[in-house]
Amino acid sequence: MRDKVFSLKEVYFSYLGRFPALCGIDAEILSGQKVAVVGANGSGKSTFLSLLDGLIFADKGEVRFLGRELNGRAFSDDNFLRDFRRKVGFVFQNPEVQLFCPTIKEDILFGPLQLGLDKAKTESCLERVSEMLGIGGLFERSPHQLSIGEKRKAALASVLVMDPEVLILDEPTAGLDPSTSRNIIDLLLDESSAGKTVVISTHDLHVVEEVAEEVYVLGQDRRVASCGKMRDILSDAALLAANNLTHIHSHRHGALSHTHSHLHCEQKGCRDGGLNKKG
Amino acid sequence: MGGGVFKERFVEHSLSSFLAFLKDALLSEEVSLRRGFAQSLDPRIKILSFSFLIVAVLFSKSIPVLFCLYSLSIALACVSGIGLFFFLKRTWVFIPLFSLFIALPVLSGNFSPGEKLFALNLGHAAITVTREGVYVFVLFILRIAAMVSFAVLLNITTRHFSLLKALRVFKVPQAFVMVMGICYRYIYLFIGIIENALLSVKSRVGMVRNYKTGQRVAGWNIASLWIRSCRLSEEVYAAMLSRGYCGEPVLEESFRVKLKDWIWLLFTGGVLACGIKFSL
Ligand SMILES: Nc1ncnc2c1ncn2[C@@H]1O[C@H](COP(=O)(O)OP(=O)(O)OP(=O)(O)O)[C@@H](O)[C@H]1O
Ligand SMILES: [Mg+2]
Repeated sequence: MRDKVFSLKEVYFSYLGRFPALCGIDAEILSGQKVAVVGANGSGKSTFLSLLDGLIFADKGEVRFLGRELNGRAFSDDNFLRDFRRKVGFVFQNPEVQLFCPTIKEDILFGPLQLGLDKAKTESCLERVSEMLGIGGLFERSPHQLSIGEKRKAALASVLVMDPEVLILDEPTAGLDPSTSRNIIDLLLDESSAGKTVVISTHDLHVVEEVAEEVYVLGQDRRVASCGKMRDILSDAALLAANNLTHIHSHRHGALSHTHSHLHCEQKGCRDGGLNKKG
Repeated sequence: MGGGVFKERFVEHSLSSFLAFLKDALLSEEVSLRRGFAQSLDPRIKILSFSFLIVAVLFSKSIPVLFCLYSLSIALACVSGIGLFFFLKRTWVFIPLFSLFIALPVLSGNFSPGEKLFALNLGHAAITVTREGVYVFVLFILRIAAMVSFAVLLNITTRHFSLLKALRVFKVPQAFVMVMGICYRYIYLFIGIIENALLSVKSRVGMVRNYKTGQRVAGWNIASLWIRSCRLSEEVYAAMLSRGYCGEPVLEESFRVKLKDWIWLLFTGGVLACGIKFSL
């Protein structure tokens, strides 16, 4: 049986005690699983992932990592802290905040350096990652001289280079060009087949379809609206529509224009959710 | 097109170029990566020796001595691969900031009584400029110039992380160093936000048309900027924690003191000793 990497029980969290962000979340993430968290803007995806990375702690309920509860006490234990940071890598939604060193290269090497990882291994990892993302040419530049997409790639590299066992990525493909998105998806699949646990949040159902086996849908009420196997969730058109995850397409065939909600996936039964003709 | 619009454009233009300058002046690490004398010094020795020089400047009371010290700073800049014009521009921008308001009063006879050079008659208030006043003024400006030059030199020839780490060696509390480290990132983000806010106002209203709306936009901006930047700095900190930061930066290169460093330290120590001796 696979280990439970993360288990959440009835977790509540609110910002500043006033702005509720998560209201009673239950979740279980097993070792080696590929999990996607989807939901509308403001449904609490980023908050959920920050909880997993131990950056914020639950107000109520508990979050456990490999059986140990994540709270202030756990992180004041140096050994646990080091071990946890070593095992869990988190890519922020806003790449801006993740790049704080003078040059990109230093930024990428910040994690391994802080954690005292093996130099030779880091070097080879760096080479692989930078080739995959095509950022070799950016190493000597400083973060404020990059485009947003380039920053995102650099932020990703800075986490991948630590080679963590659990990868948490907050909207890893937002704003990237198609071929880079493709590379990132491939990279995640590679990592996953190497036994890593991958948790991502996204709005992009294409990405969900390719990367995830388990999907959590966070609803507008800031609870888990549904969770289950990717196929089941993606074929539930009503659920997706209720959570802003589908969009209405309108196109024109000659004089005839029609709109239909459009699901970004290839399964049977999830195409053309509601067809209605106009004009 | 009225003069007012021209003026607004001018203000807008100079504001954004000022921001660009500030970003460059405070954050560029380009100079610190060049090969030169100041860059090759050990950061700890550099902090110590530059403090010596700055204290020497503070103590010296004669124009020739200050002039020598100021020349030393310029010579240092030259052997550190910094263009003379670039360096002068960089330093003289800050000098008025520090000096003008403090220095101007001493020009007048009220503060420095002495031989009358000439008098400015400004309606009711006549300002008498005295020879002693001019002397004190020049002394003052030179002193500020030399101090700012050394401080700027130290800042632009040392990488920020090295500077932070070296501060730890001098037993500066960890919390303080950490805050400084975050400040460094924070300034950059803050300037970025102001730049973007400026652009977004521009894209929405064309430009800040009249004084009233301009004021309202600015007021709203400052409040929101403050909140936004607080939030960002929190996130930056979280991002550092997430990658294993525990309050003390770990640097790749370890510091090493070479013979050159000792000689340089001895030299600046000598300068300081002379400075103190002559001033007493
Ligand atoms: N620092 C904060 N202070 C107050 N409220 C916040 C803060 N950060 C997030 N929130 C609130 O918490 C809720 C969840 O935010 P979160 O960032 O987790 O959403 P999200 O699902 O990641 O959204 P998005 O898709 O836009 O990234 C939102 O309603 C938001 O308004
Ligand atoms: Mg988010």
